[in-house]
Amino acid sequence: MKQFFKTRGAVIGAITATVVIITVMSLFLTAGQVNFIQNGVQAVMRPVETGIRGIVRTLERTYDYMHNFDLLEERYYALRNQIAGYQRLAREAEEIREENIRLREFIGLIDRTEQLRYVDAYVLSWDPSNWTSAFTIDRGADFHIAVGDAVITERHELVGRVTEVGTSWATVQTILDPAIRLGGLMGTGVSAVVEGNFALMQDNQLRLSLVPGGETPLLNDTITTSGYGGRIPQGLTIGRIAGVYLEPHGGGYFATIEPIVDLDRLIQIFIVQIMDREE
Amino acid sequence: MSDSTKNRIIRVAGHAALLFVLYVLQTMIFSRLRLWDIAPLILPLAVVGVGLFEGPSWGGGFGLAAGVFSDTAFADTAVLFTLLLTALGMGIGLLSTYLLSRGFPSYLLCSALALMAVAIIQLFPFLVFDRVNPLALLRVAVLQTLYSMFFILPLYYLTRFMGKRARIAGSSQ
Repeated sequence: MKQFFKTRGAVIGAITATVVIITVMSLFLTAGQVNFIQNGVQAVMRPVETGIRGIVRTLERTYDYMHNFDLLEERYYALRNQIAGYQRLAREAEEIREENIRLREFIGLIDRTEQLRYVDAYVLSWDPSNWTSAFTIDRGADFHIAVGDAVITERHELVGRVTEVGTSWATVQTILDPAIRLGGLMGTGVSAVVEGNFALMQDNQLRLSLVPGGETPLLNDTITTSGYGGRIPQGLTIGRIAGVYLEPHGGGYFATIEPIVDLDRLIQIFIVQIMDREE
Repeated sequence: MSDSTKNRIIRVAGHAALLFVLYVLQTMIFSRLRLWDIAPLILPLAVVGVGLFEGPSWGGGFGLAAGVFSDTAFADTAVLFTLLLTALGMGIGLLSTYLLSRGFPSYLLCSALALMAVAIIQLFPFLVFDRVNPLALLRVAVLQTLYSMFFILPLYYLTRFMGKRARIAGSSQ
């Protein structure tokens, strides 16, 4: 053993010192920050991830084209009819919007939507862990992405929020992650807490907790973000209520939520940045 | 450049290539190719192999690099894999120097224990701090360990081959 440490002591010492340095460095980082080693690894791996994502996407597209052509054609005609309906609604909405602007000016309110900025990003890779639900995107501090920013789809469905920001990448924790917790609104306008749950994550669901006493969540009711606290704006669709249950220790109900967003098919997402008034 | 330096560079490049391929497989391929919604862990198996066939220095070094890469890929760990895989590579390297035979039974035993240890460490915070139903945690831990064990055989041959090459290169000098 003595001989062993005589010959290999320097190597083992160097490895131990590196581990200690990395551990100490990570202790001094605040939530969401990454050390330069992680940043470097991601920077090196990014082109590879982008390349592989491209290959996978091409394969998926080819598969979809070959197997879903008839279905897509059918959906195309259905969507054309839907668009015609939406165009009519949009015309009506435009009149309402103009009226809204006039009324806001009249009572001196600031339009909240003017404070939001959207940054598009692509999903680079999914977290390989079985204990969390997260993915990496190809935008980071270089696009002013900040920890806590909401991540949505083009249909304003909440995907999750940013938890870690590197120079040109960021980690997004999805709404299924056990650590997520945010304010939600039921269709009736009553607020509650939407939170991830490890057991529910296995079934692609999340939990609606702290429903005020006397209120009962309704099956299929749509849950949206309440916008209270944090950097997640109000009105983003989270999901629909899939089950309503009594809290095990009494004190009202809790519900399970099925997310609207199909996380397995995410390709492009949008990061919502809430701008300060001065910006 | 001396033969010894050349061999060392080739050996480091070989390990870097192995790490790169396994990292790509783990983070970009298997993270999407899930069985029962579970992804396998393959980097710890490579660390066990390098430690077993090449000793504590290479095992520790490879474990350190694999740990840093793993912590970068896993959102829920800060330095867990850096500490764990370095200790694993170094520990198994030490055991193989003095105690363990460098064969398949040792590799199988060490790999199974390593995978179980990783799963237990991963489920621990959920069990203690979040009080998640132990059965739900156990299900994920067992499936993760079993799915990962599918890769024991290919990684055994791969790491044994690398260890043999390193020994041949070392004895020829």
